[in-house]
Amino acid sequence: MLDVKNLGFSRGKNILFEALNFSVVPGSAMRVLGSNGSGKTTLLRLLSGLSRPDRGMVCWGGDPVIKNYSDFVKSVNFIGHDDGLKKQLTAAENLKLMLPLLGAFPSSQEVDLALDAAGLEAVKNRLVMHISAGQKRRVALTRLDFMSHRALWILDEPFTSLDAVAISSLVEKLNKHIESGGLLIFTTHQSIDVIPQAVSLVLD
Amino acid sequence: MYNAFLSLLRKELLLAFRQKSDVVTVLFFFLIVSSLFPFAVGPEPSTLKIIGPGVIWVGALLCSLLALHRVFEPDFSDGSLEHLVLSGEPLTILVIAKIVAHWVVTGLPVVIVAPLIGLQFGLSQASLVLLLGTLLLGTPALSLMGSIGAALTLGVRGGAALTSILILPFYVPILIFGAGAVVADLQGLSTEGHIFVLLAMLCVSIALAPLAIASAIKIALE
Repeated sequence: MLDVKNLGFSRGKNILFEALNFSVVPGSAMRVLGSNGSGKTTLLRLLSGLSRPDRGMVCWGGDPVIKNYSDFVKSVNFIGHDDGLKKQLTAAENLKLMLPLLGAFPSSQEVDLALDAAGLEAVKNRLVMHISAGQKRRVALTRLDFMSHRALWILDEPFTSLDAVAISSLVEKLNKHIESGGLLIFTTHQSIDVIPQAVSLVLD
Repeated sequence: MYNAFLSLLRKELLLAFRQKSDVVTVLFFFLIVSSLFPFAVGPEPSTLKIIGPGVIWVGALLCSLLALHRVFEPDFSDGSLEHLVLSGEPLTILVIAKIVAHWVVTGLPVVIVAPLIGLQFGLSQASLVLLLGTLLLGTPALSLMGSIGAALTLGVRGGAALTSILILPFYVPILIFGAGAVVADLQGLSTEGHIFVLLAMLCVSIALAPLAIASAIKIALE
């Protein structure tokens, strides 16, 4: 369970949020909404431990994450605005070399199958610099297929650049994660309510 | 942990292989810098012999500096660095994998080519072996210390220039003892002291640099 207690963060004189309190329990999802510059990405970075809050704390399993950060990050699957893909490597190479760093050790065949299932069969062996933004996003999100061992998924704008088929496939993956007891926190600009069971947190 | 280290090392080396021009540029830079000196100072063999070790060491140092911005900056820009921090693996171990890759790409080619350059300066076989040994000890230390500067200047505009300013004072002792060992040998003096100091600097770098770099990366990502 993720608890956020009295969280506050400022950027210079600009107070992004103050005394933020919420909890996300296993098997549930939270959608973070807000206009550009409202602090959605900053909040996700605070929740993942990449940034430190000015006030308050984030707790995981009842303990502040800073107390046992190395264990906490092993539960976190964070996908930010940047995909973390290397443009000089192929889509398949990116995944095959990235996943062992995240504690997943799929075979080459499993990675290929996952890319095929994501509709990337034609481009999986193409250098990332030669594929479209939407295809890059799909490659990055294919990683989710191997992240079931990480309970807390924190995704920043996961639906951006995706077509309808890819959104539907992603929603299926996210629902599967929630149903299996995982936690999901994501930001979105989608007008369509793709994860209806998610509670909303609106940042002004 | 071992798997993560190997996986990251493989990734970095594959990236370097795909960007051959970067590796070739470093090597050519070393060859050009080292080869121009004899033209500038004249063909006097005794002069060339005495300046040779210093020239080769300065070339090695500049090659290391030249490629420092590529150690962490690309990962910082494309989001890979966040994945490393959130991997759950010790960041110090992952940092070491990246530095090993940096050394293989910038330091090792210089170590391999240096004896050939040494021949240009008329160094004896014994001096060439000593030069090789000092470079093998010194260039990893250059990569380790240089990476501290690269991590400290992540996301800073003009970071490459700032890295050079920050790191050069730490490079100078390595340069002095690295080149000094070969010069001492040429003068018939003992080289043990120089080599032990180089070894000590390498050990201190291995022990402290990854910790400093990991902290600097976390600060940069905040």
